[in-house]
Amino acid sequence: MDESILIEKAVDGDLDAFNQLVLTYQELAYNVAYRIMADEAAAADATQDAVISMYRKLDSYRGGSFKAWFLRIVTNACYDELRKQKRRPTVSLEPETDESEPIESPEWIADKSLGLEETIMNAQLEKAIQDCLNKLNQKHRVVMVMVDVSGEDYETVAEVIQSPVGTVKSRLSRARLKMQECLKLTGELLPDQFRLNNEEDDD
Amino acid sequence: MIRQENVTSRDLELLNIALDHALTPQEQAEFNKRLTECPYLTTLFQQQRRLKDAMEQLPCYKVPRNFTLTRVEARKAKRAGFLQPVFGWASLISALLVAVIFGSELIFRNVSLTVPMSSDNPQTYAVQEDSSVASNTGEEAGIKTMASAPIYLLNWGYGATGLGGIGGKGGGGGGGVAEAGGVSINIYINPNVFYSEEMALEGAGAGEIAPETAMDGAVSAFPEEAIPEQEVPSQESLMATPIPLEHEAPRIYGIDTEKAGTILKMTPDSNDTQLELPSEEETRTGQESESKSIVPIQVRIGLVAAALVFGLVWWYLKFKR
Repeated sequence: MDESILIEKAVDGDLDAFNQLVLTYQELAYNVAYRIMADEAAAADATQDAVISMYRKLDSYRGGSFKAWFLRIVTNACYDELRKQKRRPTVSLEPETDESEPIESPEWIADKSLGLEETIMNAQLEKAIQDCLNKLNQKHRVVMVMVDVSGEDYETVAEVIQSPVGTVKSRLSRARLKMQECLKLTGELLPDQFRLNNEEDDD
Repeated sequence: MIRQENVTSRDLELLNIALDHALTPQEQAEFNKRLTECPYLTTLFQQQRRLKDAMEQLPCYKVPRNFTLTRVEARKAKRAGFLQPVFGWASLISALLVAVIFGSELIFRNVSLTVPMSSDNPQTYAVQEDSSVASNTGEEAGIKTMASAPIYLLNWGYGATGLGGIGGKGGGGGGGVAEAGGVSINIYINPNVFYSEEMALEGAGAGEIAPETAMDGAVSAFPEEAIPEQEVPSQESLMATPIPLEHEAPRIYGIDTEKAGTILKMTPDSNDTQLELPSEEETRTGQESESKSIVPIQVRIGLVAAALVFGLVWWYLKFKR
């Protein structure tokens, strides 16, 4: 069914139409939340909160990109969840190494389609990127996740953060430079093809 | 050695657009030219492109569960969505009311006297003395009652309780005396003055406001013996029947030249609060009535409690659920 018809029905109170919209965008929402929160449970909570919040606010939807509108609610839910976490720090129940680092996600190891070496490299890369993402401030992180991870265009991101496209570009530029600096520092952990400072001294 | 300072902000802007494959042909040409000129920019571009590739390759996770809503959840969500703003607004309005009440009281307590002039007012003394002299007949006794209660037109001041001024021409009275750092203005009508032509003609300083002076100076500016001597009419004039005034009498509430000497009203209109006479109790216990307020303390406590309770409920609905 056409998205605009689903939205119209959802606004009129049709729960099935609303749930159809949720099914369309829940994966995107969850992944954005996961990259912002860096925690599966918190991302799930934020996504659920966002869905409930969207249901309450359907009356205030005034057209435009539904995806951007939903992502804005998701990012706000993530900010709320991060604030909650700051007030009540939690302790992970997942097993940790001697250096207090969590043991790699079993999903990666269980992925049979990849070879062992590739799986480990990917895991290292993801961990390094996620660690550096976490070091960015929230505004930069949101923009970078949406553009570079989710592949959204500038206009959509501008709508999500309710700022001009120029702001998106400048935040993205700064975020990328900071990410690069961060990954250089952890470059030793990255696979060779992803080390960013191996061409530095060529000149 | 690569020189970082060769890279301009425009280069970085073009670099980011290039990473997102959004350069226009002109921008692409400009960027290519800069890449050949600046090796550092070339290196930076390669590194950033590698970073972007790595970011794009991050795995997309499957959702741990469906986030769709059941009918019960949807109903609950709507109900909570209605209650939260209601409590938020209720809390805000209660807090505003509390602020307005306390703020207005603070302001009025500082700039206004809520109490009328005290009985220490020399003008009051003068009137009372006048009427005591004039109380020879029953009618004059009635006049005394009226005379001893001047009708206040304006009673305003700050800093301290003021002293009344000298009675004015045509029955108008006014004056102001300041304590150090304060001033008081008191304008009123003294009906008793109209019963004596002599007083009406001799009165002076109607509606005058005394300049702001220090308390010591103010007290000495009103020698007590001077006021009664000027204002107290002779025994004969007080005992005489009131005479209609020859000149045009001022039009003042309750005074009619044709009915001079008769009592038109014994009490002020209940709906005209500005002309309400102060009771003796209020006059004597000025400080007590000053502390009275329009809003009862129970209402204030209730408003503060409501603001707190509504605010807590709103906070709970917003953040804890």
